[in-house]
Amino acid sequence: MLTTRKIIINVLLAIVLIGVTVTSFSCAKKRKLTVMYVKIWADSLNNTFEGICKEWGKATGVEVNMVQVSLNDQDTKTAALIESGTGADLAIFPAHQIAIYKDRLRDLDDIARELESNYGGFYDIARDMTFLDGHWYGIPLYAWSHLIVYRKDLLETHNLKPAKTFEDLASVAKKLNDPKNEIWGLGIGMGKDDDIAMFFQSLLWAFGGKVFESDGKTVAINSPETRKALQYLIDLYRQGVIPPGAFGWDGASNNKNFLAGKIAITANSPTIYYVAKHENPDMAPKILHTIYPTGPNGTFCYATGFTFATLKGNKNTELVKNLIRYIFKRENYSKLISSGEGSVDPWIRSFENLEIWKDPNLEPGLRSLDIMKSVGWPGPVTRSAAEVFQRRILTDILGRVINDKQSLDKAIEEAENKIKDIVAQYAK
Amino acid sequence: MNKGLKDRITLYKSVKRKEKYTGYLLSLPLLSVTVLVVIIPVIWLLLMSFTNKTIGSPSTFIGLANYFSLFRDDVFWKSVTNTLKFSVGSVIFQLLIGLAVALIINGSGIVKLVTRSLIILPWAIPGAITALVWLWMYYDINGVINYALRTLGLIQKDILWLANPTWALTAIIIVNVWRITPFVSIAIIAALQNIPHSLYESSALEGATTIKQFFFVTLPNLKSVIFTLILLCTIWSVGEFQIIHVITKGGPANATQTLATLAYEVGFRGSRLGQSVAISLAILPVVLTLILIISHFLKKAVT
Amino acid sequence: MTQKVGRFRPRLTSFLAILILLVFFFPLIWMLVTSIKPHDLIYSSNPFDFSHLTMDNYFKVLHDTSFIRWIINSFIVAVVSTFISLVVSIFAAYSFIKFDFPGKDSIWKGILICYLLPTSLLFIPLYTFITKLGLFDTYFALILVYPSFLAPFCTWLLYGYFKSIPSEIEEVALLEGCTYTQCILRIVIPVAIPGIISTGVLALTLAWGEYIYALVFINTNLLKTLPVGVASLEAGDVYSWGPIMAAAILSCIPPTIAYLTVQRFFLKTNIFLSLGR
Repeated sequence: MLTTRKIIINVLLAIVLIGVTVTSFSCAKKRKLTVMYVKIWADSLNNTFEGICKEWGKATGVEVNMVQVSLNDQDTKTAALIESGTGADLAIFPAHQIAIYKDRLRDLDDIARELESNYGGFYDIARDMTFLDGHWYGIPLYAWSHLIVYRKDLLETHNLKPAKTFEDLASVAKKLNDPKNEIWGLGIGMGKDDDIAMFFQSLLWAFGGKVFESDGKTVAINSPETRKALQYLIDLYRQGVIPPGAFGWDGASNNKNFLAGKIAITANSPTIYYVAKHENPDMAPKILHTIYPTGPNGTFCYATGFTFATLKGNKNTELVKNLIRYIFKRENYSKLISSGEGSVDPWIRSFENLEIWKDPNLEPGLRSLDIMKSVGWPGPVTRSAAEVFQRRILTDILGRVINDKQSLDKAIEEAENKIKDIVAQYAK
Repeated sequence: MNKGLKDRITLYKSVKRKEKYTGYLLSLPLLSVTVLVVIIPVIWLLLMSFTNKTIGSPSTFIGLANYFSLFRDDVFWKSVTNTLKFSVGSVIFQLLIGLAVALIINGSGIVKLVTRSLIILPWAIPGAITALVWLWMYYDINGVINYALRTLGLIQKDILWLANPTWALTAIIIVNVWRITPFVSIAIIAALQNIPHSLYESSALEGATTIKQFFFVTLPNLKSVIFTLILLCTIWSVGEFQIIHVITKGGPANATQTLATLAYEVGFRGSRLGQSVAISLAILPVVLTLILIISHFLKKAVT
Repeated sequence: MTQKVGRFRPRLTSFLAILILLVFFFPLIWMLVTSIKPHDLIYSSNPFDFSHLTMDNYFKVLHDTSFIRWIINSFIVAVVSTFISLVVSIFAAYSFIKFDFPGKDSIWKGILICYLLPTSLLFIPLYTFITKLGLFDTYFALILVYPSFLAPFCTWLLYGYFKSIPSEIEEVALLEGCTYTQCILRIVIPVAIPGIISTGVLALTLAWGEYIYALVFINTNLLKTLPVGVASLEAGDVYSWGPIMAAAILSCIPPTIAYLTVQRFFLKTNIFLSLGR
């Protein structure tokens, strides 16, 4: 038995060695480019993107290695990429990380200027996140829209219109709230998920609150405006308009619950609509999207977007620039955005006339581009701002007040101290 | 005579030397693997914890500042208590339930044979997959666990498995227990099957009842297995990351944040690697303390 | 073989055994149930609605993803790294038992302490290490790194196991002039096969389920291991629950086969003796 096992192991080892040798040999012949990108929830977009890159690879004789990363794993993979300086030639990651990693990124001024002159410029929000210290450290690719999603049929039954202000939104949610029939008015998570983090940030800005001042260092979270914003959600929760289990929701929960008909309003990207169109056809016509409502301080939407970037020491920069140029060719970029079916919005101008924007549910995404603000606003994007957002320091206040029975003032103070500590940590 | 003795002493010394060298030689592979892939990275991490390293930036030495800021941070201390609660809670149930299961299914008969063969499965499934499956079951609206409990009439309202701090901690302990108990059971079954039958026979001859046999024959022979299992289960529980990360992400509001998940958050949701490493290294004293307390307690119980 | 408790009210304990199996297997049963539901039933209000079932999710997993490749990758990585770890552990465990050399205890304790650190942290320095060696995105990255947690585990188990093997056989062989290596190979290992295989299967399971290293050290989709592949079936806020459950069920098959194969002697070996601190 010992001998048989040894033979099997030896055969396996041989297979592995042969496999590795063959792979490395075949790779040695062609030029190779690795593209690491975050998987968007519209399959068609991912496939189109891979298709475009592979097309380019065929035309130029370069072997393109597409590496797909899921959103959950993106933090770890991008960190590993930046730290080691290898792993991908062209990477796509969230745009706010450009400000954090720019020291390790190569500037792409020439291609940025080329694209800007071809198409009339990038959207301001895109520029703000990638053009820093006089250089383009990333090429903005697309934005990920976040909208208010309504059950159109429920609005019609109750003779209501979608809300224009946050006050309106609260009253519409209350009217649509029907817990006896297991339909909650505002189905938004209150825990560690993305949607509430983005919704709350937009809400906070709309009420006049902010995390940092314009200098990016002074912590401005402890203010009556912040109090009002938090109270807004706490009241809705205590009135039973938000489902009790919302504190345990993850990013997919509100999608699932909306599709199951359990919530009347939520804040989400057009994912629900996309999935409904493809898999729940009766739900699709019942969905209505609007842009974020207005608050006393204006209308805001938290910006999430993706950008191209390449590392400083990268040896294939010319190929990378070539590929970016190819992706941004009018027919290719149009194909890309259209295949997303509204999941992403173009971050470069002159693509506002694509067919998909004729859908009244997707057009709000395009309009949101003008009200988008990046993390840390009114200050610049900083590591502290990114950490505060990604670690949900603000939305954790909700849990502290409701679950841990902490007073709102004390909880805000706690958060303020935490944020100050984080700022101090990065200044060490 | 003298010469003979001298010769024997020299022979003995050379054999002992040979033993020593062979000993070192044979354990060399294990040593090299460990040094290469564990000790060197750990030293690097230790050095990193004395710097202000963030992702994508060079680091500068800051001494113990990372550790001092940890001691002032109440989220850190919350994570320490959560880690202790999670580990102790998990290990206790893993051992008790594992022991009970082992005793029940260790018998003859086809039913028990099949059970013994299949019971390992929850442990054999990759943790990442287990976490996803339990997340799916724990969902508050239309999650199967709540639905089943309500249908059976055991609860009126949905249990907020992931939304309520206490329930969230319970939820992840349940998953951890579900996952590790089969391993505990099969270890104990293996030990049970190696207890000589004669011990039972002779105690039966002396008039011992089943219960007495359990306490005076079975349990003493399980001592060493149980001790090993406590160590292993503690180590596994304290370092558990995947389950908590997927199911609660440390929420709600840090109610299930453990040292492992906090280290990840600070290092990768923030970008403070130096601090993150310091948090992770704090796991060591927690584990060592737990192990020391448990061994001390067990040694007392044994004597 | 049978213990007193097992013989205690056999019908009752058999019934309890079935109950135990049902309780422990409920999540697995639910995995199976969800995997054969179409999309609308997965998202419906009633999880127990089984009106129209489908095998679609399995087709999606097997056809639209590289699932088969993932299983093969996991298999190769797990088998090779377990083999290396077993070899290393057998020699180490034997040396810790038979020989007394200075520093033995501290070495042993040091190795155990290394086992205490979570992989979710060790991967940072290891990532740079692997990249510098040029092993990034290859099987070797994992094969080199997995023994870091497999070898201490195997050594620990084999230490207790080897202790229980009577030493008379080897002493006879040694007296007849065998070297220690020959002794290990020809005498100890054949006798210890059941224990070694049991340890091997357990180590295989640990390697099979490892996530963090596999996530970070491998980029190419075709080289991904199983846990990483299945977890990647989510995209943003859309979890493809049907295919995920189908993939989960399929992932149970290889471990089940492995454990059923070795169960003949798996539970008869006592590999869990302590170190007797």
